[in-house]
Amino acid sequence: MKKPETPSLLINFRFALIFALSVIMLVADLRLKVLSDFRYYLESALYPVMVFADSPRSVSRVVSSEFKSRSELIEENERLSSENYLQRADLLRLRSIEQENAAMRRLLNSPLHETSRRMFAEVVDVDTNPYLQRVVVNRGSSSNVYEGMPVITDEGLVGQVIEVNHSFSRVLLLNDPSSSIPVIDSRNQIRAIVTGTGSHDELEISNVPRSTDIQEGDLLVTSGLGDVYPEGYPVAIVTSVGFSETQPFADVKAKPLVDFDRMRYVLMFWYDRTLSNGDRYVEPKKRTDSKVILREERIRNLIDSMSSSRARQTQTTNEPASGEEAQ
Amino acid sequence: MSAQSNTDQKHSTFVLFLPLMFICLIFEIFRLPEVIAPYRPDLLSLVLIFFSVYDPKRINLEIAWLCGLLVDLMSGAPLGLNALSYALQIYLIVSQFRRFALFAKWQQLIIIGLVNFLGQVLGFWVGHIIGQTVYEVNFIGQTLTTGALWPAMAFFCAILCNSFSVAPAGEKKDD
Repeated sequence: MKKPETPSLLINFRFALIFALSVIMLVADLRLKVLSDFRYYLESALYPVMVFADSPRSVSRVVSSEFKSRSELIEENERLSSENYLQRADLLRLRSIEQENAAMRRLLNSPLHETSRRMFAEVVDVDTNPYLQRVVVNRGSSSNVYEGMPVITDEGLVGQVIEVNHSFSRVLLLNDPSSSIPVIDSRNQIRAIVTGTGSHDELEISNVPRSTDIQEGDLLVTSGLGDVYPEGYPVAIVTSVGFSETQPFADVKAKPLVDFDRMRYVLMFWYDRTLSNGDRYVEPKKRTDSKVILREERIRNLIDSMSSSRARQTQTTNEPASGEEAQ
Repeated sequence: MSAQSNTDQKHSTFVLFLPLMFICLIFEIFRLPEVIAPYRPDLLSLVLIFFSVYDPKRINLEIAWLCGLLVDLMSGAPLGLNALSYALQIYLIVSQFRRFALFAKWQQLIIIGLVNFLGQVLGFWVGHIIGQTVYEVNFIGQTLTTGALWPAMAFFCAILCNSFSVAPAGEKKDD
C-alpha cells in the first residue's frame, strides 16, 4: 500500500471523457457525415498498409502460379482457348439478339438502356469484422467510381459500392444484413426483396406471403427497381421454402451465386438510369397515330379541368376561413 | 528486471510498443481463410493489456483509444467503435484489476477472456444500435482464442522487454 496507486476517480473520469468523445465521433461520422473528408484523406493514406497486409496472400498466389508444370499450362491453355472459341460464337449471336431487342423495344415504345462502360477491379482486402460483409477493391474516385455503383462477377451480382476513397473503395456484399436487393423470380416474374443475413452462403427473402409461387431451385435475378442495380443479373438460387402455420409469411432462403470467399476479381460498371445524353439512352418512338393523340389530349383536358375545379373548390373553402380570421 | 534496474541505459516502452502495435494492426486486417477467420485472436488488445499492466504511466487509456481509432480507419468501421471497445478493455484492467500482474497465469487468462468478451459485446452492441450488425453464433470464438493466447503473448512480450532493456516509466522513484 506504499505505492501511490492510480486514483480510481481520475481514471473513471478519463474513461467517461473517452466514452463521450467516442459517442460524439460515432454520431459525427455516421449521422452528420462531418468526418467524411477527414476519413477520405486518412484512409487513402493508409491504402499502402492495406496492400502490405495483403502481400502474403498475393506472394503465395504468384509462387503457386510460378510452379505450374508445362503440361498443366498447355492443358489450361487448350481449355481456355476452346472456351474462348465457344464464347466468341455465343457473342456473335448475342450482338444480333441485342440489336433485335433494341428494335423491338423501340417498336413497343419502351425506353432502351445500355450499360456499356465496365471496369475490372481486384479484391484487395476483406473486412475482418465478422459482423460486416464488405470487401475492398483497388479502384477509387481516381477511376471515377461512385457511391452506389453496382459490382458483379462472371457468376452473378456481388453488391454495391458504399464508400469511395482516392484509390480504393468498399463494396457492400449482398449477404450483409444491411443490404437488400429487389429481385424477380425468373420463372414467373414474382417480385421480392432479398436481404442478407450475415452468413456467407445464405440470403433471406422476407415478407413473402405463404401462397406465393416460389419454389426450391428458382433463379432470382435483379429486377432493376430501385435504380441501383441494372435489370437481369442473376443473384441467388432459392434453397428452401418453409411454411409455418404460426407465421404470416413464408420462410424463404436462398444461396448467392457468387462464392464471396473465393472472389478475386470483380467487374464494376456505370449504371445511371437518369442519364439521357447521346446514344446510351434511346428515346422511345413517338406515337403518331392521330386517334391515340386525340385520346391523350382528351384525357389531359379532363385532368386539367378536374384539377382546376378542385383548385376553385379549395379556394372557395379557404376564403371564408381567411375572412373569419380577418374579422 | 531487478538485475537491470540499476543500469541507466533504459529505453522507453514505446521503443517496443510501437512496432508491436504496428504488427498487430496489420494482423487485424490480415486476410485469413474463411474457416478460421471467426477465431482471429485480438492480438492488439493483448499487447495493449500487457503494456498497460507493465507500464501504466505511458500506455494508458488514451493510447488504447488511439489504437482503436487506427483500427477503425483501417477496417472502415465507424470512427470510435473499436476505439471505445479497446478503451473499455484497458479501463477494466486498470481500474478493476489493479493487482493483475500478481495473479496466477490461469487467473489472468480468465480475466483477459472476460474483459475481451465485454469489449466485444460493447463493440457489437454499438454496432447493433447503429444498425450494422446482427447476432451470430461465432460471437465467442474470438474471445476464446484471445484468452488462450494470453500466456504465450505475455511470455513473448516479457522476453522482448528484457532483451530490449525496456523499463516502465517511474521505476526509478521506487528505489
